[in-house]
Amino acid sequence: MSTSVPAIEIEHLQYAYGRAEAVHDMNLRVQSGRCYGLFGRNGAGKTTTMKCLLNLLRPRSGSVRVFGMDPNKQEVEVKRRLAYVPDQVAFYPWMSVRETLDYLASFRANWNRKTEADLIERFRLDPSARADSLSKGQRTQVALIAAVCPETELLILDEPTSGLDPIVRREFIETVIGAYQEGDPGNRTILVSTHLISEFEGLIDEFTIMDAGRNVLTRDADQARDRYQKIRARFAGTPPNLDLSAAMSVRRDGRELELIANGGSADLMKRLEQHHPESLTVEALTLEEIFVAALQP
Amino acid sequence: MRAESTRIIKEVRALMVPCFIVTAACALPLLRRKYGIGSMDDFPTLLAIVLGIPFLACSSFGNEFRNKTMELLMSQPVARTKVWSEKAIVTAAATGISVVVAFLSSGTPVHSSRDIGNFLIVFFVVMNCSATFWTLFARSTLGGLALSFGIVLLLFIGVSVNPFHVVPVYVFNAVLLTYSAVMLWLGWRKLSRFQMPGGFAGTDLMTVAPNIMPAGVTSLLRCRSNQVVLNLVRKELQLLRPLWVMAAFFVLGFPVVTAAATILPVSKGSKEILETLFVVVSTMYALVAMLLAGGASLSEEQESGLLAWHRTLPFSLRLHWAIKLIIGFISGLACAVALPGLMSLLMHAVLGPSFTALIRDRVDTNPLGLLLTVFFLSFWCVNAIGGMTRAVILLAAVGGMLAIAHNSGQWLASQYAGLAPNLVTYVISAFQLNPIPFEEIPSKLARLHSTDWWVVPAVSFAVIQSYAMFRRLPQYGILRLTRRLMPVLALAFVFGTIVEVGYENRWFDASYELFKDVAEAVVKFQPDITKLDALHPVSLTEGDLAGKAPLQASTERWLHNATLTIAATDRNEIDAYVKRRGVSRVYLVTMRLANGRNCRMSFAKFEAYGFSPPNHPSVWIVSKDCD
Repeated sequence: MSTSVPAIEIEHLQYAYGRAEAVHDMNLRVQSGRCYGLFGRNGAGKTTTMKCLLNLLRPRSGSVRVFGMDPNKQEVEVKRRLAYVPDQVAFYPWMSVRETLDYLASFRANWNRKTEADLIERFRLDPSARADSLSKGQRTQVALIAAVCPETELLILDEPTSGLDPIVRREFIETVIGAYQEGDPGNRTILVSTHLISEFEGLIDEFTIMDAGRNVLTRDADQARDRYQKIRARFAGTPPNLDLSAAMSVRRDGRELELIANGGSADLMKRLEQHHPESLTVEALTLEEIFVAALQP
Repeated sequence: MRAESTRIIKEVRALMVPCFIVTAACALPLLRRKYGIGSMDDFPTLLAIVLGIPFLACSSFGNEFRNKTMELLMSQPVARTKVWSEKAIVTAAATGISVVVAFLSSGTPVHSSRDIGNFLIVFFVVMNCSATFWTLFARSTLGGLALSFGIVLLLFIGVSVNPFHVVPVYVFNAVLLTYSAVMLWLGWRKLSRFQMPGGFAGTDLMTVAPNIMPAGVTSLLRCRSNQVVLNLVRKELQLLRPLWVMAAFFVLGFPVVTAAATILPVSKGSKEILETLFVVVSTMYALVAMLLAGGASLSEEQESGLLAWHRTLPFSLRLHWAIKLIIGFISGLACAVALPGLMSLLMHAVLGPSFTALIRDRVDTNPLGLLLTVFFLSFWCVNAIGGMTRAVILLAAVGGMLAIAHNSGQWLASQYAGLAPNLVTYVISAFQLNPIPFEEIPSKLARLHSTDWWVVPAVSFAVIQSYAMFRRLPQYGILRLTRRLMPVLALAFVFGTIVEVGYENRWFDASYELFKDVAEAVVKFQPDITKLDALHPVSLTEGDLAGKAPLQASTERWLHNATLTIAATDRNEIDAYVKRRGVSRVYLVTMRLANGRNCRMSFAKFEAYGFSPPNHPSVWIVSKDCD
């Protein structure tokens, strides 16, 4: 693990909207150069956490650091090093796409015009179109361009692909995000909150699953895949009654037995093999399956 | 609960607070009759009738646009006619309550109450019938209000300026009721064919209207990729579009109304109406312009979500706040003060003395304080509550609460003002302070009495507080709002108290009381003044003096452990005023207080002057000073 200052460091973060607690004792550490996923159900506290990072909300307690700086005290310096795509994108209705991008570029020291032109073409946007004539997906596209072109060290994306059509979504995730990180390998960090976990599967290096404002699970993606495994056993007759309490979940379907293991899958496999199943397979869970498994009661 | 009841309760809940505020303002004349405050001509009452009632009429559909729930409402399996009728019933009830209270509280004689009643009924009908159409057309409460009110105003002008000179009331009624019937039908038709094309940032007419500016201006306002501050200024100017549109209408309408009110050969009755219209148009324009200048830009960004996004861009929030405030302020002054001023100069040049007479007789020529207050409070309200419509309601409530807080402070001060001199004297004597700086404070404060300066500390604090609110993503709620409002009200209360205390004690001079007590004690001490001069002074302690001539407790405290030197001057050195009173010598007293402070005074003694008792000599303090 890198010993340099982490891109994001959150310790014991708490935030409440009135009496409704949105984030409770949240801890998070994102090293530079990583693509970090923040997963959770609706209302889990993902957007609130991001807004605390951006100094849009002041935490009730705990500390938030971005590149080692306090966003509350060094607000401009922090924001100079990051770009953000909100879940609901809005622009000034009288501005054209071209003018919107110029307006946003004026706040940045660096703006990659080549990337901008490339993305406008990829997304088939009309630069002269007025912002109020854009669809929801097109607005998100403009926001993504505005976030990528400044080539900041940190990209904070809150549901970035909602409203995008499948082609643009794939294009964005596979090409744009990839190209962004490859532009300065090891230094460009992404914090992404999304429900479309499967689409970000290949990109995510590490993730945190939140539920009801709490950190339920934090794992390196590869380690999680090694640890969370699905074991399927098919028997000639009714599956035997075994002690499978080590498994996270057990599902019986006729002659089949399906287990979700959170570590200890080798031991479970050994036990199943003793009963001579017709077939016995093991496969790593996808991040989406891990998410579902982690949040299932 | 039936579905209709649920929907109607929702409508009632949305209109409850504004209805309460409008009705309370309409009820102010009742207070006049009972407590001598408020009248039908009062600004809040007039405002409540001519703007509050249209506001209530437009709020029902306007709220749907503000909350972005119009699409949701239209997609429900309920006939649009039913939606329309439910909203109409609640709106009519809300406006009806205000109208009835306004009529009952008018308290005018029978013959004129008929006129007021007629006006209120017709206004009620016109607003209820036309509001739906104009709100749906403008897609916002304020747009609907401006159009509903503006068109009625034009109808008034149109009917007043006619070739017959005399306009019977029934003609007014007939025209307005016909207009109402047409608008009622148009409103229903508009709703039944209403389309929601979508959109995100303010769907209202003012924001999304096509750009009709000349190419040169458009190019000037176009954002460049390397001009941060200028881009922010350009953005602010664009966001103030409703203000510019209103100013354009004012430029076109002002000469027409002014000319109609001054030079048209109409009857005396029509002339009265036109002159009133001139006053209403000018005043309303200036107030609404300041209101929009203060809040339009911020509310548009809040409602569209652009403000939150701006906060993530790498530039100082203080800069953003300052640019917003400064551009709004300059724009407000330009539109609400400079533009009417320029138009007045122009009209004066064209129309001559008749225009001057109109201004002199009917217009408050010094509204700057009120306009600035409206601007800053509007900015504060939008920061505190989010959205222009809610800010307008809050502004009305805050204005009323500030006045109440100020008056309460004044009342409290008038009850206990007598305690202040003792308190001030106690503080001076306990800390052996220099009393001279305290002598002019009451009279200076008294000068602020009966002026509007009391609002300055509260409004200044509100502006500073607005920055703190601007920095964060707003969280609205009655408790948070109350917490923010309390210091503002407290300042109005405290300032009201202080000014009233100063006014009540405007003749009180703490330094005079102390020095006079010392002077009287010195006289009672009976030094032989004929033997005293600068070279032969008498030195004594506070104890020596108090032993022979009792001092007031506060004077004794002030002089505690002090040494006094008493000398006298020659006649040549004293001023003519004292000489005229037959005084030949003046005492010079130097007091060295225990804390090292030196105070000096010169005084003359008048034997048996005025009504002073024999053992209570009269003294005239000629001069006094302290280090």
